[in-house]
Amino acid sequence: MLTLSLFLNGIVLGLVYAAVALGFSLVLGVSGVINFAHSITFTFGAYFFWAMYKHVGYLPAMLLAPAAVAVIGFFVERLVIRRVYGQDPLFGLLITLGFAMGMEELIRMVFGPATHNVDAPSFANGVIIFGNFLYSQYRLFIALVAAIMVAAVWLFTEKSRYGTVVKAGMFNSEMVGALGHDLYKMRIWILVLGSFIAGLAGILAAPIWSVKSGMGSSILMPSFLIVLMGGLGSIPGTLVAGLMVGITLSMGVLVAPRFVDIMPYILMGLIVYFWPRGLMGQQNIIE
Amino acid sequence: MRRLLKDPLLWIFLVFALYPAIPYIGNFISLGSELLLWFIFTLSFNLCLGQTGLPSFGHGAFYGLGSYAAAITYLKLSGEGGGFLAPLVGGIVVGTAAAGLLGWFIKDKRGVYFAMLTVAFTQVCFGICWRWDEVTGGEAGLSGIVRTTFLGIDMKNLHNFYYLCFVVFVIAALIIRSISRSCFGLSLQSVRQNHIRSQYLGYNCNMYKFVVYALSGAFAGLSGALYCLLTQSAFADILDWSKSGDVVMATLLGGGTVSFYGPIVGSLIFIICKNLLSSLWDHWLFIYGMSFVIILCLFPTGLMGVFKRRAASKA
Amino acid sequence: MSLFKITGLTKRFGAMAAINDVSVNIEHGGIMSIIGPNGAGKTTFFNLLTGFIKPNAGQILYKDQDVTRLKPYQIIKYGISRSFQVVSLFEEMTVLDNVIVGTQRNMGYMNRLFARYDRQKDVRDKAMDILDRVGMAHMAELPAASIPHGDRKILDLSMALTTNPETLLLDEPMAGLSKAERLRITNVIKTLSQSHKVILVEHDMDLVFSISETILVLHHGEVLACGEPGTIADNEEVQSAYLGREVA
Repeated sequence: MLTLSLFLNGIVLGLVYAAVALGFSLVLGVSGVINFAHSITFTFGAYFFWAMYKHVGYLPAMLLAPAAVAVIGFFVERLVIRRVYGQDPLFGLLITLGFAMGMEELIRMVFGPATHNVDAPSFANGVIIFGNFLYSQYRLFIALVAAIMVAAVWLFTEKSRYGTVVKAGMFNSEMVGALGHDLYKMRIWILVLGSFIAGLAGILAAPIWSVKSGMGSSILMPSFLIVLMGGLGSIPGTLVAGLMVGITLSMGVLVAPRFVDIMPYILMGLIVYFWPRGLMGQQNIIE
Repeated sequence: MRRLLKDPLLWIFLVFALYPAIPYIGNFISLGSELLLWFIFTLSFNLCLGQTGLPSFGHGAFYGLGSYAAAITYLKLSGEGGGFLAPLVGGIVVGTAAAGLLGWFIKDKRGVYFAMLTVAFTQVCFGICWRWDEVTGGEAGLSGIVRTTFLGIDMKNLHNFYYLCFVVFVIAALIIRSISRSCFGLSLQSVRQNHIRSQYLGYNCNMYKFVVYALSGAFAGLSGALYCLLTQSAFADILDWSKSGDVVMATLLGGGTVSFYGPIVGSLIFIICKNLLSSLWDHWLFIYGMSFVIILCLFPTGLMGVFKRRAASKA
Repeated sequence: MSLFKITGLTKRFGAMAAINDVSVNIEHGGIMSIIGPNGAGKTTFFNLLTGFIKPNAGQILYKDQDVTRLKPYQIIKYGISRSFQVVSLFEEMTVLDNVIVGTQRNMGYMNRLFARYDRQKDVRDKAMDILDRVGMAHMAELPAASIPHGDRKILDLSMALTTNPETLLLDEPMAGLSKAERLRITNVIKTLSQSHKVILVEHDMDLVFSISETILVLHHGEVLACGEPGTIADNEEVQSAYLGREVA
């Protein structure tokens, strides 16, 4: 029973990672920028939600907070990220890392250094019982929302007309212009979309990890490594890699509880070392 | 003689020889030692980044492992009243070994992949040091290291220890600069600027990357060992990748990609901000982060890049 | 003993064979050119000879020594050197330093940790000597990024000379040059052919037929013909595959 619930925890965690990594991957593909400021959108999502959910209600806050984060994403693109288009990906990484450091401090300045708790919503506050197996309803709720996000992004890139252009742009950004779309506009929209997803992921994680200023930077590196592991531009790859990391993190407790933190890094290191294009990737811009 | 007087390194040495006499800042003698250690650390890091073009995000690992090596060597081997040299040698050996091991495996990787594999390595090292209570003391770290005498000089006195760091810094800086201007240094430059051409001139680029990485790890381990003696303890948090990120950022901010002195300028700014600005305002990181973004967006080659361009336009 | 003895050389990119089971002996005789219509596999062939890419099958013997799977830095030691179609320099160095990188490697100075590279007189003299041979000595102290395109082409070529090669492989030395610059490079190549064996890949037919002693024609990844310029020009297969289009 413990094994099963750890496995489920792993899937829940993996879906959240995958959702954050997806935004990362979209921006990296279309804009060629390794956007480490992605982490602050995750944090902002959680803080905005914490600040408003008791006033406007749970579900409205789940839409309003990511929307606010998306606006922040827009300004981040205008102020910082557009300056590193076309530069060395590592230069962009450092610029956005510096920006994320500053913004994380701004969050501490505005919201204070304390850790805040967010209650699980009343409609998913209990446990689900299957025979003698109990599982938190809230975690299932997280899995559901994260899975919907991943599926929505996948449907967007596979089925919608604009989405297919985005997908083409992830392999070759010159294609965007050739297909008659404005690459600069697309870069903004994709960053806004990525911020929205990360903001929502931050909200989902809030009741489990609690709201603190460092929550973004702790998910930053794993989610970027998930992007590399899954293969750039591959949504199924990102999903698989996210689930692998999530399950490793939660099931690792059974093997070596003390060293569970390093297991995903070993996994990522091995995959990136032996399969530089990731599990399902194709040739990409950072090679 | 005139050429010697024009040498910026001489002036840097002079300033830090007189550091304890500088009003206000001179009172923070530990800060001075930390500055010198960071100079060694970032200069050695820049052998990788600025000289060879290796974007290592894992240098904190060698610094941290160096400090653990020094602490363990001290506690297990030299003990109370024991030697000062053994911990330093321990730091160098472990730094070289760790960097050599990692470098051997990732010497053929490039760009982002190189960077991320170094991140994975440093996170694994961090995880081990954080949890392996029997050896590293786990979360509590290692303490009980006492600076004793070295060559008959009392190292409990912070001024004396400062001057030990100063001497090590002078030696290390002279060695690193001499390497960067040497034939070997030119070989490294060729690897950074155009590794394909370099191979067609007969250079085994991967081998150079491996060697310079191990070499850089030696200095990083040395500065880590000195840091352990300065703080008389060893903690895991300096192995976290974000600390390695600080090193990369400081080097870039100072202009390490275009100038040998870039890392010194960068660490000066970072350490002073971290230690002095933070006492004035809790949220100094906001200013530091934003200034980093603004400066690098305006001048991608960093502060020394601005300086160099000015000098070039005057000439 | 052939200069190059190639047997069954094959290189596939995906399903397409860029070089398909090529067997040919390249005998030495002055300047040799490799030609062929676009997509004939010239560049792939050139890259295989210089170890830039590895073949799927086949063998390359250079003077009876197997060089098939050697890495670029190893192939240099056999006396093979190459230039680049897209000029490949150390952009942040001066012209002289670009050449010094090569000469210090050749003279065994490259691993000296504490000897200043710019104070090694014999390395520097050798580098100046090479620049002198190609007529670029007066530019030695200029940044490589700042000199005209024709000079960059020649610098690229002179870097290939630093490894003391016996055989020089030149990848489209005329690409993107003006008429006057072409003339200058042609003269440099002619001079070099007196002391080196020169193999070039080139589009400029006037040049190829005026200076080559042997011409190798590739078509669809296979050798169509190999011989003196006169026989090649008269070869009907070659005309229909390649020259025919230009004549018509």
